[in-house]
Amino acid sequence: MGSQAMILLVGTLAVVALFVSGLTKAGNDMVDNSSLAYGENMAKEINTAAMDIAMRTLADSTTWRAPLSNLQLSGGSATVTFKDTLLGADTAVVVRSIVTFISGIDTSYAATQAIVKSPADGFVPPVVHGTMTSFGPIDDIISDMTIDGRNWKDPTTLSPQAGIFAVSTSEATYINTQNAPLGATTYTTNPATDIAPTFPEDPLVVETNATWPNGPPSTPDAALGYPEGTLKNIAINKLIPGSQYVTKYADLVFPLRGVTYIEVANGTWWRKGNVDGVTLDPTGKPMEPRIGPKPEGILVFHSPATDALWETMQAKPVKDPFKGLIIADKMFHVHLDILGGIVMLSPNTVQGRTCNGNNGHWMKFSSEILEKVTQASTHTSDASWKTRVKVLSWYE
Amino acid sequence: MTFIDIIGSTLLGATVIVAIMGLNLLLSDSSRQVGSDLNVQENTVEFTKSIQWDFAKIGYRDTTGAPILVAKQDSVVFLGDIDNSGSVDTVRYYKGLPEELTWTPNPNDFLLMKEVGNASQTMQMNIGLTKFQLTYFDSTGGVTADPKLVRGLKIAAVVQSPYATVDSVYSGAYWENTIYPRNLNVSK
Amino acid sequence: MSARVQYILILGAMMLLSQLALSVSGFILGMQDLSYDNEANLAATSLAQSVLREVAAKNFDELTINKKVVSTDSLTTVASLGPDLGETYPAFDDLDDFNGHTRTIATDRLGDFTVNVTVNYTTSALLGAPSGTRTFLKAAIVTIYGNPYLAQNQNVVMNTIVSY
Repeated sequence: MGSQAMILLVGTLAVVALFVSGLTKAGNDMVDNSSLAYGENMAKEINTAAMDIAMRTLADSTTWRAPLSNLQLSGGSATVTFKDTLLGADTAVVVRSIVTFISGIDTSYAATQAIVKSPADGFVPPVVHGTMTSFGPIDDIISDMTIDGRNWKDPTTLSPQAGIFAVSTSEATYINTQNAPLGATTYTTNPATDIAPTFPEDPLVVETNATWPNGPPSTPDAALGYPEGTLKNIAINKLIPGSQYVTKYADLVFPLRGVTYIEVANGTWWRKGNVDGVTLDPTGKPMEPRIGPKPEGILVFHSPATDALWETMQAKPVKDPFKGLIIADKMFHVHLDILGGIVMLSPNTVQGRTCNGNNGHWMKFSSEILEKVTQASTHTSDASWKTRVKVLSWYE
Repeated sequence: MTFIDIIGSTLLGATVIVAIMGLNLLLSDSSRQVGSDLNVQENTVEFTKSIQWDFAKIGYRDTTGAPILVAKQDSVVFLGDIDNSGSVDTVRYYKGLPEELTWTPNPNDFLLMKEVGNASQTMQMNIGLTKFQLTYFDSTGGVTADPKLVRGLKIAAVVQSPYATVDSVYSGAYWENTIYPRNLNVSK
Repeated sequence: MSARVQYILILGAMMLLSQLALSVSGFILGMQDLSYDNEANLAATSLAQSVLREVAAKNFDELTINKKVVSTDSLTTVASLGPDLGETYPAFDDLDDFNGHTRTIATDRLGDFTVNVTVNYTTSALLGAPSGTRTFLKAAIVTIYGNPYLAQNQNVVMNTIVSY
């Protein structure tokens, strides 16, 4: 009987061993499973970190193309590559990250591919509500020139249904005292409707009682949402080629490019026959504050008290349009064509005067031009990679 | 052999048999329990991978600028090219009702439905979900219910076994994931 | 075989059987612990990921909220990384507010877990290790611990790097 008991015991042992083996395997599988879950999540986090480092690298140096190889992050390894590509007519950069993370007996992988533009495009400043935007009355400023808020790629090519107001004022009313033809894009319909310039104007082309989130800006930097001093710094240090900072008209170098920052004393009034006290030009004719041939970029005309007035801005002898954004305290007698936009900062605009005979000139809104002229200054005004690098697609 | 011998050996034999049967029962129950736990945990990890894959594609190749169409606690509808085919899919995740899942004894589990494109392309995921809850966040990390403001989502889930194991208890696992899809969070 | 030998064999078998039963019981308890431990690991991993994404979603710095900076000199100093005066969770508005943050998270099945967050400046050379100067990269480390089902002294750590 004793031997039979032993036989029974051995049999039991065998059965137990079978169960234990199965349970042990299940236990090991459980450990592997939780280890795998950890590994997969860690690989994703390392991948996210590697892409952030890559974007930071591109933001600091738009021409960076060397791979970031074998980054040892959080116990894993990441490699990021940068490669130029063509998207239609545009160039872009393909940024690829591949990560491996070893956890236990498992190797987890994660990968991302992003297509970006570096540097990013500029932007249409939110302050540009109309082709002419003012924080004061503009009834007498527009003269009889054509102001068109529809979106123009160039003087003759329209981007349909993508424009803004013709004029925008924070005043409660606007009266078109000098019969200016006004046009715009209205979003009161779906889809939007482009309204060609007419006089009398369609009421939908004018914005009154315009408001701004932080109140009307009183400085050029505030108008663009840049930290104070950004535009002046760009101009002084020529961070954008062609930029210049001057305090008097005589120091201006033409053609205007980049950021032209004209900072004048309070109460300065540039006008025909008197520009900074200069009454006659070298030919003996009345001095005129012209802006030279083929002017473009961001043109700032500003005094600390936001009361500088540029009167009779013109492009003689050549009649090239100004392409870009003008940010001035006050303007009157705008005798040139503008493709882009104008923002006037002062609430005390010129009133009670007339400006006829300007109907040969026009102002046309152009998002393309505004994005182009703000591209470089945006890059300089904000170190965030999300401003400096434009993501076209992100696949992970 | 005396009467005492017979009684003694009977008792001993019974003890041994009961001990072995008890051991067998213990091992059997344990196997069932551990097997069920393993199954649930593996299902949870697989479910995680599937959800993370899809939700990371929210807004990928979308041109509308508003890829989240519906943002409810128990369902979400979003646009994104989840299979990288070049065309944007409309993806809908929503909970089935517990009473619809009739072939498991677990009264609380439900099917998770994944619809890609239209209702004829609906996949029923029976992984033992007893909780599937979505929370949405705006750009500041604050909770929002407005699909246009959504920049991130949290998915909280509990997965259970279809059958109860020892002591009528269901194996289970809790899991959550927070995703801020990149295509929702960078200016394009 | 003599009766004595029979009895010895039987006794031996009984002893071995009881030893086996004890061992198996211990093994099964261990398996149960292992199962709970792994379930807790899964939950902890998912919590760590969730908290990390919550941290990384915040503004980069108090001084970049609705503002733009071009220089690291404009950022919060290294010594001041942490919640700003009067700020308490969940009202943190930038990611380094989470530096030193600890809280308890309740889960549906396994009860409470404790989370701790550390945030430091780092560089692309340091790759997550703390930098003594301000940079446009911050590293966030999330540690999950304090649940009775996690194996003793075990914690789950996840980390990431966020760029301005």
